[in-house]
Amino acid sequence: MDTEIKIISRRRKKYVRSTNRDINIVHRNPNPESHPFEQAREYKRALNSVKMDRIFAKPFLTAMTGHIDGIYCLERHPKYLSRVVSASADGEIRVWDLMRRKTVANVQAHNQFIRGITISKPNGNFFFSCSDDQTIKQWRFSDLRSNVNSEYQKKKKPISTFISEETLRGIDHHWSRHTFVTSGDTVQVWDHKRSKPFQKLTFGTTETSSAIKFSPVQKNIFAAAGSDRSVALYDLKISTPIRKVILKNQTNAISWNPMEAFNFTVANEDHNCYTFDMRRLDRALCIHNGHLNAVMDVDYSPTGREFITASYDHTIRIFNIRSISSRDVYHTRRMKRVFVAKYSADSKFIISASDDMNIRLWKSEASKPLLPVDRKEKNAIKYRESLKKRYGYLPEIRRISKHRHLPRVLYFMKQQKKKSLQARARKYRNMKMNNPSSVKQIKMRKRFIVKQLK
Amino acid sequence: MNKKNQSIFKEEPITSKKNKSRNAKPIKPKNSATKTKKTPTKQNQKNKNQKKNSATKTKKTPAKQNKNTNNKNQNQNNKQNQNKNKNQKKNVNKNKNQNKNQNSNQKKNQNKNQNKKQNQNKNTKNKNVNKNKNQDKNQNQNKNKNKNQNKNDQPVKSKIFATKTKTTPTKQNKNQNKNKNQDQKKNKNQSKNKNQNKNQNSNQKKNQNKNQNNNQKKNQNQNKNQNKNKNQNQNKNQNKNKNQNKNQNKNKNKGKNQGKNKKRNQNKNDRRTPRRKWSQEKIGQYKKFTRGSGASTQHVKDRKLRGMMKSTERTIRRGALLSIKSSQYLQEKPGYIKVKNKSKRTETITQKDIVKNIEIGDQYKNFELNLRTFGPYISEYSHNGRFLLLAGKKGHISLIDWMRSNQLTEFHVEEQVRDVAFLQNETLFAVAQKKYTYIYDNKGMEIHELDNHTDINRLDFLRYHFLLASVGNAGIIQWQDVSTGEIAGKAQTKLGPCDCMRQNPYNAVMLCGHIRGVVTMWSPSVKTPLASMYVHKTKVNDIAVDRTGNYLVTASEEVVKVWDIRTYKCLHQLPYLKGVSRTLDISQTGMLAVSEGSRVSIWKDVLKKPKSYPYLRDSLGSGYIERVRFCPYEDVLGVSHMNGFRSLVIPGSGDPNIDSFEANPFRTLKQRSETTVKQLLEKLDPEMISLDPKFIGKVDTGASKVRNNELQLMEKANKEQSLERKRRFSKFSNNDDDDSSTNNDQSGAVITKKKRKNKDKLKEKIRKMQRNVMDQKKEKLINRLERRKHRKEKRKEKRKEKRKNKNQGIQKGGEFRALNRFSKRF
Repeated sequence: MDTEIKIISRRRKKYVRSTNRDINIVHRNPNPESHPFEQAREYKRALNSVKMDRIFAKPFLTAMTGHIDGIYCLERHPKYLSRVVSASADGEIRVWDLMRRKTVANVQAHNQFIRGITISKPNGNFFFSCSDDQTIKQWRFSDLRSNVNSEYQKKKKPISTFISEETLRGIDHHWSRHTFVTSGDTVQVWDHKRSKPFQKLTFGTTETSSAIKFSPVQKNIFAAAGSDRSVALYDLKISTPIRKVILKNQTNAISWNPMEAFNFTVANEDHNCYTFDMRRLDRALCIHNGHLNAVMDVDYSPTGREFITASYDHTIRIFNIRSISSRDVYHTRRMKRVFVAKYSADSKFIISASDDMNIRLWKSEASKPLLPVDRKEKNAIKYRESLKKRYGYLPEIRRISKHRHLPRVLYFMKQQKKKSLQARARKYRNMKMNNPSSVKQIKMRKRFIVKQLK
Repeated sequence: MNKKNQSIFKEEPITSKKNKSRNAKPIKPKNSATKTKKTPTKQNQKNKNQKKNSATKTKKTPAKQNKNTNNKNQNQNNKQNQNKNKNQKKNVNKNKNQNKNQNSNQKKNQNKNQNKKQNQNKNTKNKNVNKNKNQDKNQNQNKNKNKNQNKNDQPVKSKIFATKTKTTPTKQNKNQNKNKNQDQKKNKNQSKNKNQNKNQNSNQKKNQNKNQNNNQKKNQNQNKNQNKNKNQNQNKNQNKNKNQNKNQNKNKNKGKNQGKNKKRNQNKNDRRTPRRKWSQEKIGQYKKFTRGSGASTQHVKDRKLRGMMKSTERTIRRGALLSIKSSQYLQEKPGYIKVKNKSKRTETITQKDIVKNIEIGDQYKNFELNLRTFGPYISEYSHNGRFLLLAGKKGHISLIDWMRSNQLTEFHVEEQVRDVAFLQNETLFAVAQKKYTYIYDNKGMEIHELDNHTDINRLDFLRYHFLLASVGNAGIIQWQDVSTGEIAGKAQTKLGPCDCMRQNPYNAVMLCGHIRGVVTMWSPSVKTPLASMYVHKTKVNDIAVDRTGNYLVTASEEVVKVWDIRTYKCLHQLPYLKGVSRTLDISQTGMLAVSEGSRVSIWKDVLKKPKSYPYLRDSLGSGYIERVRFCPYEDVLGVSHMNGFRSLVIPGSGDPNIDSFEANPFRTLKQRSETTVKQLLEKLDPEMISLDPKFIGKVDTGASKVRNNELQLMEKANKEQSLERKRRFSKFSNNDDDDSSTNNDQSGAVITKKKRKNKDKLKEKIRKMQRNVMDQKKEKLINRLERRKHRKEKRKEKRKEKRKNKNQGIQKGGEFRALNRFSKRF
């Protein structure tokens, strides 16, 4: 023949699986012509995935009861993922197993308000508690663990007791050595085997400092917040403190970024958190706002990319370390003022303790599935993430992804706060326009700082 | 596809040495005359030279090239065949790109040569620069001794065509031809030579011609000698004439420039030698997969944003490369017809021939259904091409799985049926009946009666929007969301009853063809047409849009026109059809099927360029064709007509490679339900239908426009202030110039450009002429302008002097003397 003719001929084998147990055969054609409305459909997918995120956002996992008073201290174990120690205002300490959601051990440690708990590092065999009764007690986990609620409970005794001459407001353990520091009128440095502090640090005037925290990277450095609205940096190697900054409001908690050695974040009474660079305390790296009442606690995720804050306004917020506004807000109707919130060591969970005598467990990513996902679903999630990233700037998608429901009271508080802030800004603007000499132009990042001392 | 590939592979290798030799084998000099399309003649000749000279070196120094050009005419007189000359002509027409570059060459030559040779050219009124060039060459030749010329001859051969083509843009070519005729009469000497000197220009004086003729004879002798020498140009040792060396030196200097130009020419001519050393096909694919050029990041000041943009661009590029790779492994190849006897048109091939030639397993694709009772039939294929919906005008409806010849349902509505349309899959379809439109499922059960759609002539379903569009005798176009039942849009066409509607698959805009020969485009969110085109003088019978959304084809009476939707312009018209074309369709690969009464003609690649005859043609014998539809993802055309339905096999009409997530003819029931859910999830809003479907990724410039408007308002408000400023300025400027004051009075707030009061004809002429071409005319004009300027200045000076003289004379109080004007007082 002088002609050669070929047409499309599809063999069924190539397109249909041989048995029902086999996977379906999939053919792809990358030609854009065979995918009309690519962009529009992708956008729609992005919209769907954002909506799905909101639908599946169920972060609250469980509430654990047991304490009889408000819980003000909480510490996670450095070694075991599921172990958490909490202390309440009535002087009881409980050790929790998060897996079983139960109390593993409990002890009536003090007769008064327990101000701080810290677990010895790196092994985590002991923990220390300090109370208003001016004592620090050292406990061994293994002593407490057995015989919960038994007769012997009363016989449970601390390994050692340290008596302080001053009031105690907080405590933190060194990351590798047998040392711990307490804050009070002065900062005291203790050793496990000495009954008295081997070092006392002050910054000139006497102050009662509350929060105190060792840096996990530069282990000899720690920061302490004072009741004179100050945040001071100390070094164990030097007898004198390094530097100090006085803010307009008091600081309630401090947390170091485990990945960026210089940076730490401070939870302030003025509803904000401030991230500082250790080397320059005259300005904040970033101001994190969003809370509607004093921020009581702050804790960095082990990844160093995010931190959580617990607030007096009954909410927990999750912040990206570089962003001003929070990524997410957690609240439940029964949760009252939250005093402590901590990340779990795998950064997947958040543990919060509040005034209402409960410890709550949350997911750190509200809509992520907890169970292991198979490869297909993983890929689907990945695809959805990238779509969200790509189309995240479009107004509809941004609106949905940013929207968070707030309780009625908080919602109105938020509106009010917004109004008052606007009014302040307006006033400032007017002053600047009409009487420029009366207004000092200070950068936002410096406004909340009174002075820096060296 | 295959043909393209071949041509690409043939064209590619020019730059590389290996391929040259590979090319040299299949191309015979005799055939080269006929095979001009695929293989540039340059190559042919090079190859010839290689054969003759058995030259190993392929690259030539610029100096040599120059020589080549000088000896052009001689070479032509040499052994070159008439065939070659023919080739040249063809080349000239084809290589337009070359010509552009050649122009630049010409300029240079012109400029150099003009001064010297214009005198000589007085006899001949040459507008062509080429002639000048040729003259120069001739003169050079005369200056050179014969021997030198001969030495230069042979390498020239290969270059002749390159240079020839350079000198002939199409317009000039015509002139040349005219001149040639004249020349032939004049130059009897030339005509005596057996070698026709068609390309030689007439400017040569008779003496020159004589010289040449002498030279030619000698050349022939010498060529033989030279054949022995492999590298003729480098044979300085053999030919120790001083003249030669001098010439070479001269030529070297010129050659440098020419060499550069030549390189440039090559780059532009040979598009297949791209920057990335990719084949043309790959470059095309790359462009396709990157979906246009990316956003430029140069103007972005924000570093973070710039970084992000860059990274996204990078990912897009990477993705494009990956998809190029993956498209190499596509399983199926498109169909084709290859005719070995080239004189035979594919048009003559009948369905019988096709069926004979294809595999037995595929022969079922050609079938015929005789359904005489229920009148003219219409047909519709499902989106994945597996199902066929047949509807007789008199009420017979059947749903067929045509690939397995399995009828799913068949029923009779006992009413007139005007149109049918599949909904999202084969389980549902809509039927426009006498009064209302109904939706049936795949078992023939009536599911909905759409009483909103009355008296409907045409139905269409927008798959990604879940919209059922309809238009009828009331002239109202209507979209109904099939998933929710809401009416998404309704618009009155106001152009009378309408029985022609198709969707643009690229952007889901509905196109209606009207009685008055107008095509209108509709979106559900807009009450007025997005665009309307006056397409035919008579009623529009049918329209179709290809899937790239670039081309629109309209049919009216016996006229079928192809339009570019982007520009709304008619590209061309199909040649005379043998009957009224009632219906047409465009396949996935861009093939066009047109009905001509009871015939169908299929046109390949007709959208981009006109064709004089169809790809295939088939006639039914009797009964006009009611509807023609290509089956997606198959090489099949469904023709429904008065007496039933016929399925024709049209090689190369369907997209060979399916995407299982888009349309899968082999999908299982479970997959079908899954895809339905996904489709519903990804349902696009009716508001998203617009002429540009990609608007979603783009930056909305509306906000900036608002801001600009505000700014303009501000400017208006501050007009007074600026006016005042202007006035002040005008006072200041008044002192200097008288003209400026008038200008300021007119302008007000906005500074306007100075309007030219007196049109300067000379300047305008220069302006009108092409800027990048420098020729005699323009130069003359410029010279004239300059002279005029000079004169003006002189006059001014004179006037000034006069005034000064006068003033001085008066101040001095002396008498005015005639002699004063000669005295210099500064």
